[in-house]
Amino acid sequence: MKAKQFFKSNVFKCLITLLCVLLVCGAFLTIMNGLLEVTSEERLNRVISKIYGTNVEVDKLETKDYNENAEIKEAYKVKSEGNYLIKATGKGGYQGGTVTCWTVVLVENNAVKGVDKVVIDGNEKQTLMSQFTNSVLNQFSQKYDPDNPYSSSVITGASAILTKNAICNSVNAAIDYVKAQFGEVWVNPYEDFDFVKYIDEKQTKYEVKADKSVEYKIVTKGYGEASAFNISIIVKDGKITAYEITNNGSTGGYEEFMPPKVLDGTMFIGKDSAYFTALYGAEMDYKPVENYDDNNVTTGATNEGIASNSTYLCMYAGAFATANYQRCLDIEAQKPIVYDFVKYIDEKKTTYTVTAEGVEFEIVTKGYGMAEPFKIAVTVKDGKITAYQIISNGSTSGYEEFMPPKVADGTMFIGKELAFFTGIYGAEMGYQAITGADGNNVTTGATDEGISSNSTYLCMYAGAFATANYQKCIDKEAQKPPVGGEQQPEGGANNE
Amino acid sequence: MNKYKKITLDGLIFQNPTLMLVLGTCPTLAMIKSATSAFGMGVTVLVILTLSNIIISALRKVIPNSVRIPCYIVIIATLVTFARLFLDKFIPDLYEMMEGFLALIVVNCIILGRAEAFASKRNVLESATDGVANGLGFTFALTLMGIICEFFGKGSLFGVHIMDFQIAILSQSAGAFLIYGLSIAVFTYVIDAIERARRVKANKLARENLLKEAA
Repeated sequence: MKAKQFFKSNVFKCLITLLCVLLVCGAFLTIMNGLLEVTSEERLNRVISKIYGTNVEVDKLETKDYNENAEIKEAYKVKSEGNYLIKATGKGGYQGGTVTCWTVVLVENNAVKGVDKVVIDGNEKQTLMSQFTNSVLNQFSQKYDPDNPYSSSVITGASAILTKNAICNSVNAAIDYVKAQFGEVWVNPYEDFDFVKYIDEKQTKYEVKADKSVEYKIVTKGYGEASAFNISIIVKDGKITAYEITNNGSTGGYEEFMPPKVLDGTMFIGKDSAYFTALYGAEMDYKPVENYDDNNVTTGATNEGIASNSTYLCMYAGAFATANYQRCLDIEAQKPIVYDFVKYIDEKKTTYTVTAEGVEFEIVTKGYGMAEPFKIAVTVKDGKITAYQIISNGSTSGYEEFMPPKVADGTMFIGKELAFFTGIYGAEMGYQAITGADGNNVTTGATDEGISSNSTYLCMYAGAFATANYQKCIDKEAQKPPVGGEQQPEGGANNE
Repeated sequence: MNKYKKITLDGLIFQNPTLMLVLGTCPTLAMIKSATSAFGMGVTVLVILTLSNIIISALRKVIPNSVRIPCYIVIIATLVTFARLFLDKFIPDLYEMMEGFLALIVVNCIILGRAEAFASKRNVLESATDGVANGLGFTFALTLMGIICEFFGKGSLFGVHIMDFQIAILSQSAGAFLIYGLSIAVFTYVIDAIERARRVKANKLARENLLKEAA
């Protein structure tokens, strides 16, 4: 066909018509898009109106991520209230999708007080968003726990577990962002641990017991179709002694395809980390389960209708627990003791030594009232004081002679345990004036009867400290590798 | 019968796109869980249908036959996009309710069907009338079913709580399907009855006329 013929043909006419229609429609839409565009400010005002019922002024903040499970998209501070309005996209939804939520984080006295409201802004790949009604979302404001992040087991009323995980991740990220504004940045306690890839490090906890066993409350992440599992594991001497799945994250109907001995945890009893790495390799990479019996599973390249994802998460939790057992013990051994009755004790200067005779304390008190600090040597065995000597008497000059003699020479305390001191001063060891004293006891009351009540109080307080913390010192010593010498108590439980 | 009256009655009743022709089932089932969203979808389809009929009818002699379908789709898609922009700007609550199904109006059988079957063959005024009539018929059907589903399924009407008694299944897709089926059955029965009555009346008249002539 020649060019002239082409330009006269029906084909050309069709092409031109189509092109013209496209151009006109495109131009029309371009103009309309410019005229009818909803700016981000308008969208923000809509969200604010939806949450507060009216427009409030906000300050825009810089975004930064403090939670790997979500991304902070926008952050604002409400000028009038001081609360925060955060838009975060939570990961871990169905088919790897996300859910974006606006969260109002309540603030009081420069700390997060709770969550006021959660509004869903959008999602990717989620198919059951209709389950998340106001009654489900309102639970975020009702069930705020400052020590535990939101999880799919806390928020009820919707069966779409993965979508719920994504929403919880979004809200948790919003809270973490606000906490970070006040300097409360979460420090990952499992930074140097092995096999953490599928472990939810924020929600997983462990506790070292006195018998050198470690009790884990593990929350896994999801894997494939399986969502997070909650598993309790006890490990002693590197081997699992107890294993219980407290929340099964299998997709509905898949739980019955898990090996029964994995499901009830009995397969793992007596197993150490070598068992898990033998199945899944040194890196604990995923493999489908091909077969199983009472003692083992066989992994391979193809899935033989067994719930491989769920089994893998259970195995992964076991590997995490056993591989990090010694690490947990070592960390616990390095932690300072959280002492009782420290209000009038100078913890930095107070020391103790564990010997065959018991725990030998060298206690330095703080001052109280007119009395200066005392330095007292106290030995405690089996919870009772066996030796008590005031090394340095802090009584104001001249008041030493007004102390009950049996307190001044320490003989009143020999054989006494904690109940003796709390029996006089109450469970909190609050100060009371001394009204009388004999060889075995003092009596307290509201008015000082000319006895050195402040000095006596400090001596009694030191006795209470020694007897109350005796067992803690013994336990701490048992956790350490055998070394001699003085142990320096350092601060309290927050000193991690 | 006046042709505009016939076009209107066909679109509203005798060839109601939802209850008689069973077209546009997807947005119907999705939107009738609530009366507000049903009405909103109905009005949106009414506007788009009318405008698309007018434009397509106006361009019917210009668009070659072999590219008519792509051109119709482009025009309808443009109108749907405009509707989305408009709703998002001025009625965001309704936009949120219908968001996923607004885009699906592009492939709504009613709009493309009327464009192909009517607008491409008739003049602008008749096409506009057809668009309005079919749109109203669609809106009426959806709103009626939406009212039934919301009232019995949630105990409310257009978002206003009326009663505590609820039949939960009617607030879900399965219940919407049920109501849709029942509505088609009832509507078809009523129309059939009207048509039968008409035929009986026409036959009676014809017999009387014959008898008169014979006499």
